[in-house]
Amino acid sequence: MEDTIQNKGFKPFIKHFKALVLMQLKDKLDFSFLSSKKKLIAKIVFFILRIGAIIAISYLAFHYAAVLSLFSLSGIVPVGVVTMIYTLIFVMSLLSCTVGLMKTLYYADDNRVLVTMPVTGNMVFFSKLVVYFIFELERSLTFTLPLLIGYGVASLLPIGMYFWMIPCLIFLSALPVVLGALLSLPTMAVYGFLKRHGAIKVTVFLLVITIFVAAVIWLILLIPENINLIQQWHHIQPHIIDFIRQFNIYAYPLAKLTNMMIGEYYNLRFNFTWAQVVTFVILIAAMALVLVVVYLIAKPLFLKMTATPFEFEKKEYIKARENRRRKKYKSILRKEFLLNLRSTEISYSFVAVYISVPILILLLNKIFAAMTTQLLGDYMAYSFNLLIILLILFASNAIVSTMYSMEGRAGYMKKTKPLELIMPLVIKLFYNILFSVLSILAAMTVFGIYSALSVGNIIMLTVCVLFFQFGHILWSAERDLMNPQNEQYATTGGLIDNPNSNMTTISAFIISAAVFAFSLKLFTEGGDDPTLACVKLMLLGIAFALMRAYLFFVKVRVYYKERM
Amino acid sequence: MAVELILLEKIGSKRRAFSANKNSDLLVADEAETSKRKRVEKPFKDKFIAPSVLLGLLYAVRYLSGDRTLGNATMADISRFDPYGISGLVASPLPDWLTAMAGIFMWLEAAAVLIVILYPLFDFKNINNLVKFFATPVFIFELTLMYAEMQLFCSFGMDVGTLYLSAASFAGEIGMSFAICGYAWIRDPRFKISKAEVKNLLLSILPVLIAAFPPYLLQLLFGKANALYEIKGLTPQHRAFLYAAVVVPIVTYFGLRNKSKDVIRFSLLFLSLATMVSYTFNYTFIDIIQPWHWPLHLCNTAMYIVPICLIFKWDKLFYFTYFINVMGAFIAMAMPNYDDGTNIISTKLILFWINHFCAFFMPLLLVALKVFDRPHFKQFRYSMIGFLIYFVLMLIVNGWFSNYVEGGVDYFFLNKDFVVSKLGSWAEKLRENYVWQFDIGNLHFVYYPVYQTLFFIVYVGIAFGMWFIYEQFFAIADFHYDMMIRNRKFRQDKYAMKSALNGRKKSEPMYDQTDKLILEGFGKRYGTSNVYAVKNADLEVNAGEIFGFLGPNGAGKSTIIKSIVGIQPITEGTIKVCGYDVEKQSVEAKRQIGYVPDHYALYERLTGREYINYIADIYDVSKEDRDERIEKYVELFELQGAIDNSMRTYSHGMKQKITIMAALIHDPKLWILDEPLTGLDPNSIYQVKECMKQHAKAGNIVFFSSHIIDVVERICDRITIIKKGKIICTRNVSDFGPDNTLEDFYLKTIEETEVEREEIDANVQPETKRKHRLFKRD
Repeated sequence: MEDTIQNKGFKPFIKHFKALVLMQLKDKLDFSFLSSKKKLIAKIVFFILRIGAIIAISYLAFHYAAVLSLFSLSGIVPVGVVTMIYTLIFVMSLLSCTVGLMKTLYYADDNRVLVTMPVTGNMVFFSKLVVYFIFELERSLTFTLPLLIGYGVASLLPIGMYFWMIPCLIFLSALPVVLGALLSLPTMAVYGFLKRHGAIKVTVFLLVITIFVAAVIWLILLIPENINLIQQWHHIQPHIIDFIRQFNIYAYPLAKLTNMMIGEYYNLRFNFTWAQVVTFVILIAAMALVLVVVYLIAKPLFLKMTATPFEFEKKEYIKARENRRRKKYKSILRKEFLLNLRSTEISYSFVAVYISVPILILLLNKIFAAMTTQLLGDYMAYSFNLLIILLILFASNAIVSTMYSMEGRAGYMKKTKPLELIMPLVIKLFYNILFSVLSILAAMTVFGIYSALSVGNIIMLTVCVLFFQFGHILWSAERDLMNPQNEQYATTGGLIDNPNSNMTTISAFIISAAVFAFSLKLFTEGGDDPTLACVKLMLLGIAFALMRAYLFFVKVRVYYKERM
Repeated sequence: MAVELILLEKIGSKRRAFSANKNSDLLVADEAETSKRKRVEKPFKDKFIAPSVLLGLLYAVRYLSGDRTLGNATMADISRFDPYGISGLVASPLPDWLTAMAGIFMWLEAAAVLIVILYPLFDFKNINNLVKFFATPVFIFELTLMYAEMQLFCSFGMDVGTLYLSAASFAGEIGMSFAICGYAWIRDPRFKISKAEVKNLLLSILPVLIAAFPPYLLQLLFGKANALYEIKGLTPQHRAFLYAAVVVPIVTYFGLRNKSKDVIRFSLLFLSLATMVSYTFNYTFIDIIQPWHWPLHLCNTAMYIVPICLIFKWDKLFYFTYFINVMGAFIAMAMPNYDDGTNIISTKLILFWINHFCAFFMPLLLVALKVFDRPHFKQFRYSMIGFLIYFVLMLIVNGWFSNYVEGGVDYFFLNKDFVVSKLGSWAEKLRENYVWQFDIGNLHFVYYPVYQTLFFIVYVGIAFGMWFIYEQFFAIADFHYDMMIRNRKFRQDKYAMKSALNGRKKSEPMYDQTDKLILEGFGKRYGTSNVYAVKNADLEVNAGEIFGFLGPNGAGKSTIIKSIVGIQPITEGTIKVCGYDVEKQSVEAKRQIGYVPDHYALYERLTGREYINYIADIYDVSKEDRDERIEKYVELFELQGAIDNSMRTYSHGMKQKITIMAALIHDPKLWILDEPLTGLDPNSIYQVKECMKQHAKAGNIVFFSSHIIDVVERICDRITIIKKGKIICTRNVSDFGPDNTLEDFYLKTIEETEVEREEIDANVQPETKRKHRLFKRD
């Protein structure tokens, strides 16, 4: 009580608020670089390089768009294009803030810890918003700002405008946060509803996926049979310009916000106007208003949710069943399927990856089919197909390199069961293997339809891709076995920076690039007949898988027991 | 245990054990024989070092004056020797067969001479056989072909003076070779050798001949042939050569890695000398006085640096070649600088590949076979200093010697545009735009400061890259070696188990004590640590008793439990669960165990029932049994309303109850509980204790680890106390009473060991203290 009295006043308030914010930031971000000068310097150097790269890429893109008159005939890129880009960034931020704030405000485990501290509920509530604001601000200053600078350099913006952009972006960073906090309420209602009704959740998910896939395929099939951009440009360009104009009419508020940042274009140059200041003031006023609404509606719900213990919350109810005896390996397989299906994050990411592969292959081949290519072009198209398929599948194996560790301490218990050690480990990969096989078959079928390769060659390439994927899955799983993170998963529930996933992602890039280069070399070496190249690729894939399988089995045999 | 060891030796790998035994017998006999021989013969053998050096000199004289003529004829003047491009033999004044025989025997003679030169420096059986059964016949045949060879030299334009010198040195060479061969025969006059020796001999002759292959021989025998294959531009044929550059050292490594140090050293020295001889065939005495012909190109330096380092053990010089030559040779092999259309059997091409193979893999082999240590940063630094000196020297030499040679000298490609032409116009501009020229006396010097500085920096960068690659390679190699050793041990254990079972099924117990948990000399170390978490633990727990396991935190309780249940491997000793060996019959042993860990570990997305059924499936529990047991425990632990809910909704205590149910679902013979009462409500604690009593009463073992001494005292029959990895004592709980409680005894025991330790530490002398520590650790 005494403490509370002593802590009254503005300074202690700021001190506590800062502590709360920093505590949450440190939990989410890695500040270890601050402890080492070497790391700090490296961080700063990479930061500068990153900013420089974004500015350079942005400048080049806008410069060449202007030179090629892609979006207008006047020789500059119209503000409408920037509005479209900014809208995309804004929508992404809004989505991420809405979902993130819903989880952090109403479902986060740390809420119950934070409210026990000598701070008010208001402070905890606002500290969470501030943490999100800092994330958004970081994104704005390290991505949006360099992007706009690139545009500014390409469009010769007045120097003062660059300085004006900074306060604008600071306040604009708060906009998705306050709107996200507001939208988190209905989102939470929908989320809670879907969580309670598993069947509806799955149906909605499948429906969304189906509509999305159908829409994408429909769009891809709209690609004309013969593309000749140069010849048809005079037909295409007016459509693009019209689309940008229409977009700016519909996205009027965002167009005004874009104008607020970079000014208006007249008299063949960008000018700073009072309208920008007015928009800025309106923005601040609107945000304050939304913040008040959020405080009035969201804060009471936040406090209510923090007071609700999860233990008595009946999250899901599964109908009572009879005991049933199964063969042990079938039972393990069933357990894996149940765990994966009930772990929506894993299932969704698997589905997203495995559906995206055939769709991307369809898109790629549709584009290639619309082009007139020579033999070398065909071979490049084949190699690109292999690259895309392998790259996505291999990158998705980053999840595989966390699979055993994600079991937490339950992973150790597997070792105490009367089973050959290898069996439960291999069975755990079955879910991934099954869906990746389906995905590969679908992708290779699409590839086969569009390519001029014979059925035999397509089958050989399919075998090649399948075996490469098997090998890479085993390799990814092996990384997790050799460097397990079970304890970290058991204590923190997840790892932001899992070294095994990182290594898997790196290997995905290297191996798929190597296969691409190698296949291109083999195809071009073979002349008119790609059969020998396909045979070699198939053998290479099989050899890779066999080597990885051998190493996986031996490592399980000799190391698995002692790694924990 | 002794029986097991014998079995392990016998069965681990029957052949290996057999050959190991045989080899070890042979080794013992060999060692005795060798040491005896050394004592008696060493002075005699030492005397042969001088003749060997003399033989080397004679060979060099002959080689630098005449032997190369054949090569020169095939390489430099192809039109004269092979006017139709069909065969290299047609231009010879001798019959084709005689020319071919002369060429082939010069190859065999080169190999034989090198063996004989090295013979006095090494002492192992195979080298004696090589001298006796390979070198001697070669020299005898060589005598018959001497005249033909001299005729060949004569016909290819050797002047009379050189011819006499060559003939004299040839005669001396043969004579000296016979003398050394004769010594080998005197030393071991046996004609008959064992099959193994014949096999070894044949296996060594092949690599010896490959290493000594003269680069001109194919062109001599087959002429220019058709230039069908171009070994350039990463064509399949070129790639085959690149693969060979990787395969050859790997094969050599595996062929030599289990051999003695002497054999390894001899093999590598022979390989490096033979390739050096092959490489220098186009050098003559004249080249010695024309320094711009010296082999100072980076890759060329490896040809003589490697043998020098091997003979004189100059490690500083070696690491220069290790960091600098390897990468340079690899780049050169990927981008060979011979002319377009150079045929696969041409002298020039074979010469190039012999040189670069050697520069590429010899340094690697020398480290892989432990002739030189793996480098530390210190050695890297030396190599960089060496490189700087070499670089500056080459700049001087290039600038200076270019005054004497038309077209200039281009050691290490520092002077001409060979490298920049490969890189493109930007590099060419960089070189040509910055030129520095000056005169010293009559000499004119030209330098390209920017190009040459960048060249140096890039090469140092590449050397750093090599350092990184080597480090990665060593890590991978060490790991795979470790894996291989462990895998071999695993297989040996498997065979040992089979023999220990003596025809019984794997599912049957290996030992007789089928109703006990036994630890014999159990020890456990973690990872690469030398410190034991548990050492020399002996324990016997009987059926029908509840056994309490007490000890402070970190004493080693969990280590022992985790080793029993199979979570971690055992470092030493044996653990027997109901007659099953936990290491060798792990699956069967685990079938007897039910384990409750100190912290629940469940698949929380399953329901309680799904999880229990999953565990029951693994233990193959019948439907009737699981129905009965699940119903019983659900009622006992009051889980009726929750068993079909997702375990994520369970409280801590409920999860612990499910863990206990899962451990009991298969009615285990050994029930291990590690701190099982944490988080349970009083009623559940009571039920768990009752379960333990009932389980023991049914003739099973209950192994109970806890810090709650009251509970242990109340329910256990016996207890053991463990501290700092050592089992201190085992007592019957009935020995304790109201005046002498278990708690008092526990605290006293723990305290006593502390005091004992402190007293020892306080009283003993520092040296004794150190010994004591070592003793304790052991």
